[in-house]
Amino acid sequence: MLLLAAVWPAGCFAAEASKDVELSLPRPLGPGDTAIVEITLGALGRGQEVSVTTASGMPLGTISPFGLRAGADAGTYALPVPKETIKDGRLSVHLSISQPGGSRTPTALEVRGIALKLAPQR
Amino acid sequence: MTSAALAAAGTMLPSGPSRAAAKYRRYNVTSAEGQKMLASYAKGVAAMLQLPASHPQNWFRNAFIHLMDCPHGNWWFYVWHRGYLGYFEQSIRALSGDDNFALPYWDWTELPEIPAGMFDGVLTPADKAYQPFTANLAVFTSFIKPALTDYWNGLSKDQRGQLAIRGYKSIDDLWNDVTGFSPSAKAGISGNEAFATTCASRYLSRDNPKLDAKTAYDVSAFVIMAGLLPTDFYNSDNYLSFTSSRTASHNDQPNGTTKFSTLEGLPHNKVHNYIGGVGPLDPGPYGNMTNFLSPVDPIFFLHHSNMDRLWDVWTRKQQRLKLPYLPEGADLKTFSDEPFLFYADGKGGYVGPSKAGDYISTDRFDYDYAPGFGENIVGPPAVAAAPRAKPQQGSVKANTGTVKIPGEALEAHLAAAGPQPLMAQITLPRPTGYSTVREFDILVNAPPGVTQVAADSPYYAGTIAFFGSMMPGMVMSADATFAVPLPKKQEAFAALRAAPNQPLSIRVVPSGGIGAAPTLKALSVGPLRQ
Repeated sequence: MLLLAAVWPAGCFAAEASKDVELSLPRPLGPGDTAIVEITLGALGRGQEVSVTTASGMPLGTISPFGLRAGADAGTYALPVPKETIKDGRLSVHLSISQPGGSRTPTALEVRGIALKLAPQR
Repeated sequence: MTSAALAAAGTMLPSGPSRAAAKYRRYNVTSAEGQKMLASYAKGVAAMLQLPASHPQNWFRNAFIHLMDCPHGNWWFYVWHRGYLGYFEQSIRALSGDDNFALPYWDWTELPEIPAGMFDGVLTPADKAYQPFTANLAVFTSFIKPALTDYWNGLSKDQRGQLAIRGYKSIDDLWNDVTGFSPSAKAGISGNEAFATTCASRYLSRDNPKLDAKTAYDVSAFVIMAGLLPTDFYNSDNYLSFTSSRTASHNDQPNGTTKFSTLEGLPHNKVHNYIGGVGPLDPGPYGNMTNFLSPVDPIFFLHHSNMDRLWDVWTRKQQRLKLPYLPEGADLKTFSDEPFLFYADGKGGYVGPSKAGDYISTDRFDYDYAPGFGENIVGPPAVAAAPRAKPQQGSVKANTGTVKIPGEALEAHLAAAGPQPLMAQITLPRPTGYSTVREFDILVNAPPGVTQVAADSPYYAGTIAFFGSMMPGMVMSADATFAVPLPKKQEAFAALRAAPNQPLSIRVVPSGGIGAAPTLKALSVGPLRQ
């Protein structure tokens, strides 16, 4: 089954979002395409960052919100994905959020949505 | 293009279009010319530090322009900072005595560490020259706040209006962002404090100059090249957009609706925060670069010079591809007419009202860039520019979406050689907290009696999945929009080809056939690119 997007609804607890997330491409990757992980964040504490890696630990980017008023949701970000990390149209990603002294799994209020998309190249 | 090839494309020899020579050239800070510029930069910073707090070119007053007016997370991010840097460059030119001064840029992709010269003297905010002003918050307050209050009291109605949008209805509101005081919490929040003491003004040091691995990734060749690839100045899908969200005002602060472009959202933000100590210094207070008094740290201007260079690279790439490099039509007027009211000029006065459109071109400040990372993307176009089509807006009735597709677009979609399928944008509400159905199949032109399909059905266009369980008692009001490529299956479109005036229909049904169909909210169909 083709999963077009995975969305974390607000209201879930951290324990419910502790697994890696498997994403699927909306269509096969073309030669000129760039795959993008689009991730929507809720409110984070000042200085908190969301790190995104593949399930095997390859970094896909760290989102470090800047210029937000305290309490504001952090918005949506686009992280390019190396093609070689996508297998059979699927990508498994691992999310973590920083906190003083370490990191933990983000809650569904902190990571509200995530999807794998394609940007065609010109 | 593989990630390695994508990254390598940025390191080839530059081959950009020829332009009339600019009067000033911004060099890579690591070059001999860039190092020479650093010496002049230091002279200018030292001079600005010595100006009284009432002077518009005082070093800290210059930083307050950023705190009071900088846009982030919207499509004026680049153009506002171009104006800010341009006037600042004029100030350094005037105050350093170097008539040829141009801001060097820090190409963090090629050098993922703070350039060594930026730890010398006044080029670090930890230098003793800053001590008389930033030794502690009380010292800073007594130095700057009276003059800032006088300035505030003399602001125009229009300026006050823009500050109100920003959340600053009084000087005290503004000052709360300096101290980190939260009126709602009735307490200070260390990480929100824009002020930084001299000794804690920058996390990175001469002995520890390198960006950490995560920040280095966000400035890596792969990420930067991907950020340069979008062909739209603005697109509501941020992964297709060079700029971040379109907002009503450049002073609208980022929030949950903000969509950050790759370049602003990753390298720009991460470099700011890491230099200020986000991560190692959690939960703050942080150095200057993490908050809106970031221009107190001289590295700010080298960082933003590189961001501005990447905009210039992207613009010239668009020009070579004969693609728009600005918003089009009425959007261009909206973009260009945005008032910028707070700049100080290079002569020690205020610029007065100006507009975003005044700063679109580098010609405004007569400069260009020595080539840096990404320049090769300006090279000859790999493909000819192709016409683009707007999505066809559909309508929804009885929970079925319909949309008319031009015959030629349909044939192009079905052509085996056509790499880009038609894309349906489907909007539906998130399931409520009590819903047990999380996945929905998309049906294209399915006969009315078809309510369940297998993946090999000609009418099947994929499945929308809502991830995670819903919280009972919570009604989610937010809708979600999904981009769904339509299948290239002849059978699904056979009736449509026989009767071209008939609309294409789309339904959303529970995957597995059990449960209620969601309420389809909106539908449009169009090619991502022709």
